[in-house]
Amino acid sequence: MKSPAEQLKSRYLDGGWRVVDQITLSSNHSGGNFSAGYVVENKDGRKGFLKALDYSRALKEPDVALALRAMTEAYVFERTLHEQCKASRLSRVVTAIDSGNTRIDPGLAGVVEYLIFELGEGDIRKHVDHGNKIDLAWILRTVHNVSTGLFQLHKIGIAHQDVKPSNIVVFEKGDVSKLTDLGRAVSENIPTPSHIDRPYAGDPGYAPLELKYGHKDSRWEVHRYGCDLYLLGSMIVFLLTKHGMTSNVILKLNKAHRPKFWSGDYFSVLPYVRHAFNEVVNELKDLILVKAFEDEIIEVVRELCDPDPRLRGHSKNLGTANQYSLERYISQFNLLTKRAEIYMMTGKKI
Amino acid sequence: MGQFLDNKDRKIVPRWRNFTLAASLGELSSDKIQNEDSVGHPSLEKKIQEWKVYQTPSFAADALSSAFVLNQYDRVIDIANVVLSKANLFHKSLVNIAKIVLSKENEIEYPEENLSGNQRIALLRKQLRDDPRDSLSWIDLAREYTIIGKEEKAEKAVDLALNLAPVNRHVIRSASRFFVHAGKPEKAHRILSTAQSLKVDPWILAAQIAVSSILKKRSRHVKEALSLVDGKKYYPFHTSELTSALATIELEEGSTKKARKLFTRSLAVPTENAVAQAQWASNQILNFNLDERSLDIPRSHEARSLHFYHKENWGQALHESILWLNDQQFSSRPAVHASFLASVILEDYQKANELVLQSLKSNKGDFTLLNNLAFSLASDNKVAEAKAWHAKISRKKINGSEMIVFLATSGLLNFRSGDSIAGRHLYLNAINLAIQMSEPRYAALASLFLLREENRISSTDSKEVALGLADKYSKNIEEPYVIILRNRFGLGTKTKANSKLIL
Repeated sequence: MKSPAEQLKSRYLDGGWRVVDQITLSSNHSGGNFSAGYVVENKDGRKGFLKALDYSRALKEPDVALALRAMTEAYVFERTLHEQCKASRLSRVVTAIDSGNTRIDPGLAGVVEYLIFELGEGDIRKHVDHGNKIDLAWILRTVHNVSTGLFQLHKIGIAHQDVKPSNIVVFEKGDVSKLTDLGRAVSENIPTPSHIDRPYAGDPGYAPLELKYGHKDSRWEVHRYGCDLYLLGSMIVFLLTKHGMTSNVILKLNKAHRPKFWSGDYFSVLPYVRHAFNEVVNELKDLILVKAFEDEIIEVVRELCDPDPRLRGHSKNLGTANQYSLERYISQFNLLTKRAEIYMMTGKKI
Repeated sequence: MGQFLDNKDRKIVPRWRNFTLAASLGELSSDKIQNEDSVGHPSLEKKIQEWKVYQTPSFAADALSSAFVLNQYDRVIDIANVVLSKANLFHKSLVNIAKIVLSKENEIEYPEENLSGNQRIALLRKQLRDDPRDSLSWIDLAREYTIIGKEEKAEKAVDLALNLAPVNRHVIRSASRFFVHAGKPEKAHRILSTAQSLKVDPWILAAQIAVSSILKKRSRHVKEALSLVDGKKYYPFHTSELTSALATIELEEGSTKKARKLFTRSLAVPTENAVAQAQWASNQILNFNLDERSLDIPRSHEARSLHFYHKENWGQALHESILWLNDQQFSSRPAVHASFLASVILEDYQKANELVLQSLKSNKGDFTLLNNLAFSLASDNKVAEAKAWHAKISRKKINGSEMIVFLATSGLLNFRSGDSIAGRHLYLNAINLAIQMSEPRYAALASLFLLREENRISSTDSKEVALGLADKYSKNIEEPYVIILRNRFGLGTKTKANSKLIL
């Protein structure tokens, strides 16, 4: 039987919205909660993506009250983050344009809470696989957009924690990319619900190396912003190899040194991880076909994904209060994108 | 005369291999049992669902790589098959992940790169320019420098690696091996003794005990080592070298029974170094024989070479000793053993020269290597060359038994230069010194090679004297090389009895 969150199709919602079609099944992939995804249309012609919270899942938990509380807290927390983002007019973060609830049935979990977001054209996986022109300029532009989104979040004290291909949505036929899904985000300023406030609540397939080994730096910015920097670098790796830094490095590690088999602390395995990381980074060079850009891009990946989170960040910022700031990278990606565009058009490097 | 590998004494000092090889042999594994499989994660299920809907490369890659990271191979078998069948659409790393998922193996064998020493150095230096924090590359670079005899550069690289990774097992063990090689066992001892993990890492403790023995000290941690070996905390592979190190102490201290028991335990799941130590011990302890299956352990070249040597299978013994030398290129021991086999037993002087010249790069001034080269060249009638190498021996550093060898080889050089009187005199001096020093094997060898030279110049009287001496001093020696030389020089057939030193 369908849960209330899966019964929204064709319903009219407050604010002039009509639910057009369901596009994702109920799952908890995108946040602390189970949710279903729909395309919605407004009377004024705007389209949106609706994320419907599935409270009925809580009824299947052993402690229903606790589960309901956790889901509610997560929803409220995410909504608060989106309100903050909306107020700050973040241009490279998919923000909620509306929120509300609708009652489907009179039961305990019959109310469906929802958030409505601007509707993109799908995530970058779809974009790269559907015959679009994928060249170095596009890759750099996408990375520039994602780093801008992260920077905007960091400026208001939010660490995204789940940057991955499915959370990068393209707009304007791929010219613009935005970060989506704050379901795993944490805030420096707003208390984070306990079930999200784990060392790493994001997608374990992309988790930073130190967190795969259970190492968490005690300093918030090293832990949280260091994680975001790693995930950003990992997206460059994804755009070059179709999978992230973590799987690339684990593949290079001797079985004995992989997270599953290592029993020591992170700093005792770090020399092996670093060695494997260097192998991965060196092999990336072959994938950057425009050699004029090779060194700079590789250096950026090296800095963003350094296996030691204490060493991440722009080389000129190391040891400063701005170590985890993405500002320098944004300028760098911007410049690189422009150089790549000119190179792609003229064949001349600048 | 050619000098043999004097196997009276062997310590289980760590092998020094490049990082990739050391890791593949399991020496750098964590000593705990493996962690639980990661539990499935909804994000993986979502990716698998998405793959089913979209069926395009990025979705395949996303699901497959996540399953790999989460150790959920069974969930993505179909996707792995697709990736393999359309390998041209994917980066090689993803194809390798698909292979691992399908074979359910955890390793892809990367072919060893066939690079020269200089190419390896250039590559490592480049890698270190990109990331100077890579301690393992520093230690690999140190090894390459050691092989070509650039000891100062090697030491700098070792020090850097130690600064970067002072708690890493591979770095600590490799560094200790370097300092033993460089004639600084005190420094090796200090590094091992101050290692944070000394008391909890059986690999470090094993090295500490071995290096203490080199310094003629009994490690202060023997008691802890014994309790560590007796406990059930570690998988036997991880305590194999530690058990072997403890067995060696017992043997040195005359507790043969305890030594036998510990050596047997060290072979439960042994490293090749422990097998080599047990092979060495099997020649010293009565009723302790190495199970031949232990010789199948990868890289057991030293043990196999000694095994074939005792079986008088000289060709195989030489072959394995060359592989041993290739494995531990900086070490003089395999070169001494191989060159002795090649020159004294097989009379393949060219091969002997080649092996010694290779090893002299990393062991400049090594007495035995220089002597063996001079012996081999002179035996091949390349007298001028032989003299030149022999002249490089620093006489000030020659110790007791080396003096016997030095005198004998000087005798050979004189014989081959046409001065049989001086040659004979030097050989006789060598024999007398060996007798004075109670070194019967040296006396046997010197007298046998005197006989070889007398046979060559056909002076009947001297030949008779030499024959008598050679027979007298070699007839009671059961070493295979003595037996083969006796047979070769017409001292009658003699077969090997039990050559064990009975303890």
